[in-house]
Amino acid sequence: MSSSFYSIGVLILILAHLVLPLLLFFIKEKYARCYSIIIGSLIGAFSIFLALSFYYNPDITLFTFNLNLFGLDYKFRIDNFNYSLILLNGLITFAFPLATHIKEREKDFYVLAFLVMFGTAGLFLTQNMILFVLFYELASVPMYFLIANWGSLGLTPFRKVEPKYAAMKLFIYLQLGGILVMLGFFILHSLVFPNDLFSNWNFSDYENILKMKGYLVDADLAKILFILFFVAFGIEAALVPFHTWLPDGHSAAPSSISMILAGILLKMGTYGILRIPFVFFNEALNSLSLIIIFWGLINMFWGALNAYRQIDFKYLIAYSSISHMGVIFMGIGANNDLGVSAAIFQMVSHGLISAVMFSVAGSFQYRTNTRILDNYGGLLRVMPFIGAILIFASMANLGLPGLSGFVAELIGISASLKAIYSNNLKIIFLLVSLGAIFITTVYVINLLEKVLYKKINPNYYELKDAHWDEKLHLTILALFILILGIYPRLIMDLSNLIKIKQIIGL
Amino acid sequence: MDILFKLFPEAILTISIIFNILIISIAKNIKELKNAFLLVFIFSIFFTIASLIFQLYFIVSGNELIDLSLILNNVIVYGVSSFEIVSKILLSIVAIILAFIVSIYFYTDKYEHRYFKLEYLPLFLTVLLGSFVLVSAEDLLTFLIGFELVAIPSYFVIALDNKNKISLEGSIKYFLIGSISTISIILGILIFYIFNGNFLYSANLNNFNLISLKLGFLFILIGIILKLAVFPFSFWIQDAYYASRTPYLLLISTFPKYSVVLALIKMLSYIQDGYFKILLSVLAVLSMVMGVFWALNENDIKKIIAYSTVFNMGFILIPFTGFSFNIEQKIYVLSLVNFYIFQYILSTILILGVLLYLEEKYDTTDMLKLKGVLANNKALSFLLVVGLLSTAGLPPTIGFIAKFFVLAFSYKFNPILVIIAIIFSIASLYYYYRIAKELYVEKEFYLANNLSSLDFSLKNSLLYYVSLFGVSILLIILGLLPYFITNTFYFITYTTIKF
Repeated sequence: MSSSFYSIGVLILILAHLVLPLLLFFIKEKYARCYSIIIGSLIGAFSIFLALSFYYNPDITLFTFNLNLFGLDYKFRIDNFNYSLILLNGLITFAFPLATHIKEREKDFYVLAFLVMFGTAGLFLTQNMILFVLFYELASVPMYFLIANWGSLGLTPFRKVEPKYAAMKLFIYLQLGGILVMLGFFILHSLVFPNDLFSNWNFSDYENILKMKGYLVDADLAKILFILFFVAFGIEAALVPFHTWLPDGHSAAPSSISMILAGILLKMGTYGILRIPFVFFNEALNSLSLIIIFWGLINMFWGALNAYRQIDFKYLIAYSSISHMGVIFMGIGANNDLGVSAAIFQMVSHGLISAVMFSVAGSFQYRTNTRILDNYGGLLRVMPFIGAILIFASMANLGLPGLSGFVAELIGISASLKAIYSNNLKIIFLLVSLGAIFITTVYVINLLEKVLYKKINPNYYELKDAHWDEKLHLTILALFILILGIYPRLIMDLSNLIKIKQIIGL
Repeated sequence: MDILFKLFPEAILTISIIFNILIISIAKNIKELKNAFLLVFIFSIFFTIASLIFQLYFIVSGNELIDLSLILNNVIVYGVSSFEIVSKILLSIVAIILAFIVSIYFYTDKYEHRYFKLEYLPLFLTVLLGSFVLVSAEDLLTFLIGFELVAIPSYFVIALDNKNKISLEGSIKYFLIGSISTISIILGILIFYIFNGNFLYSANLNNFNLISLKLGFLFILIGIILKLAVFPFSFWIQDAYYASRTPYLLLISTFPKYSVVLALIKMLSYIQDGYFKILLSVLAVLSMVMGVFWALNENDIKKIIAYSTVFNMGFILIPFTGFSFNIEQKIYVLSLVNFYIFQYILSTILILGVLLYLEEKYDTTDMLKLKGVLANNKALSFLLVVGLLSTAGLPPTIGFIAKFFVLAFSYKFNPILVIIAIIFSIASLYYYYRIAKELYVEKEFYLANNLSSLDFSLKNSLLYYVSLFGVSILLIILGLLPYFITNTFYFITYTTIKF
């Protein structure tokens, strides 16, 4: 009985993401936000409930929903890979309607935004390649409209960024990633099952072959395919040479969409790396380990370096996101027990921290109509609550012990150190990563000083502090940052390499 | 009696065409005539569908091979197996959707019947009849008859808007191109007859090694790809599309493409020749490249649709290169091509259906003049976005599934072509999304040419929305249940090919 309860729960979770937002069309424009907050909370609560029940009862057979329609397996499952991401997805679904300050065409906005959440939830849960690509595109297509329609102007030290330009750039990059993933699936399918077309698109088909033969394709091909998938998903996850769409997209997007983008959409890429090339071509990773680790290191350093010189609040957070994504790549590249845990932990931790920071940026922009850091100043005095949350999230961002950012960075770096065998490289790695952390500290303190502590701008004396909605979601997100900081086992326990290999059957 | 049963759809269409022409010559009062006309049309379509469903019943219930083909001296001369029957059913479905949309358009014409032409529906039915003949053709003469039945009414259809000089010009151009393609095909058929002694497709199976037969087939291929607007012969398409009013464009951009592609694939299924595979690959690449490059800088939506046709016709040539003596692979090619072209036609109808409304209301199809006109129209912007997504091959629409399986299949024998196709698919997203951007995202309204003060009743027409929403929901549901339609096409083709 209980097994059917959880598996139907997974189905309900998927359907709720699709059906409840579509009911928005029958609701008056002025109640659109209210309704979205309610369904966001419902879906969020249900996601968190399912994720936590998986934590206390980690049996994937209970959490599998399988329905075969006309020969395609609509198989959704909560497992060790994705339960933490379902938790994160639920939290963001709960938070983003509360953080929205949109005033025009609200219905369209919420339907499209929930469609993105449907895509991401489906992508995390599905076990089929066709549905995987389908959900991937479903999550990235509405982003264009969300940014182009409701976006605002972004500013870098060098140029202005129009929302339409940023949206088109983001769209083309995400499509490039998606289509490379598709190409990777074609190659894999034609190599492993040369005579089939409509069958054998499930992950489990490949895992069974892997179990029987010990490898899927030849060692050289496996390396090429790993790099192909790594780059394809890396485009979505802001891997450094392909990252430029992300800061532009973030700064142009409305802040609640930035929350989704940083919190969830980036994680699709890293989850994809973990779910597909990491599992299927794990042998190839042994020889590629160093490359991936140092690629992640470059990501971390380059993001931090760029964040330091930004003048736009959101650009700064976006580059800090890129910096933090580096830890995930490092964890995946390390390919040991700690590394995988670090990657998954950092996904959740970074999702929460960047969501909080983008929400704060949105609140400031809503009140002051600017995002230029030099225009702010002394905001802590007029907005003590939001200011305090910003300080809290910034501390988590730079890795203060006791908060989630510290745990992820610590284990990520130590796992990578374990995987590097040469002493010289170890020293280089340590110096560069510590340098990145140092730069992070500098720009975070710089940010706090500019925004919160300087002399106050006289126009800002009248500003109000957070409303109940902002208070609610900021408090809960901050609470989860704290919980993960002091009880990291919530994610570490189940997401280590041994457990993951067990569920695949290796 | 037996032959009549086998040719029931064609017979019924012919009768209804004659009936329509009689009514046109008798009728005087335009109002009366409209009603009678629509009635006849719907009846003929209804009977066609009924007969086809009746025949499909054999496939579904008996699980046996259905083959009603006309056979003479142990050779199939007119194919009526499940493959053809289902293709005809799909053609009829498309025809019914078109009939609904176009009839509603004619009824709500604000220009006092400038675009409502009585000749439209018989011409429409003739094209449908021609498509049926093309799909069933098993020899080159029948093919030629079907080809001309499809082509000749199209020339008239473009010129129906006879007060517009551009339309007349486009019609003449289309006619000239059509004549060239017919001449080329006739030349090819002559060469075939001289060397083969008969007109049958299946005669190619044994003696295609003759160089002269290859030459003959080359001429036929040139004629066909002129019609399909594959690259070196696609120079006419933007003019023809631009010249025709949208209800007429709905006709000429759907049936000719569907039926000619099916005829080509039936013809090619008897030919396994390396040279033609290379030729088709080159044509496919050139078409995709040029289709994308031409469309990138184009502002007229009709012309963009024309170039997107060039792109998609190139795309559909990719699986053509996969024919081999392996039966399994042959079935895949036939079913995937049929599936792809069907979904492409449906998506085109959806986009053109929205364009019908815009052209009627604002009297232009230039998207720079249509900036932001859909920003406050949720229904039409939904329809347009679904149509664009499906044409561009993005989920959750059926276009994605079609593209996915065509590429996944073609990768197994022609990986380089697939990679090129993927690159240009991404590039093509740019101009599809430009349409959505200008019409939906831009906020400035184009007011100078806003003729909404005129009597314009298309926007209140429930049937118009119902038919378009029907198409869009079909696209999405089939996109979310992909194996339903792929398995159907596969099964149909599987039961047809039995050697």
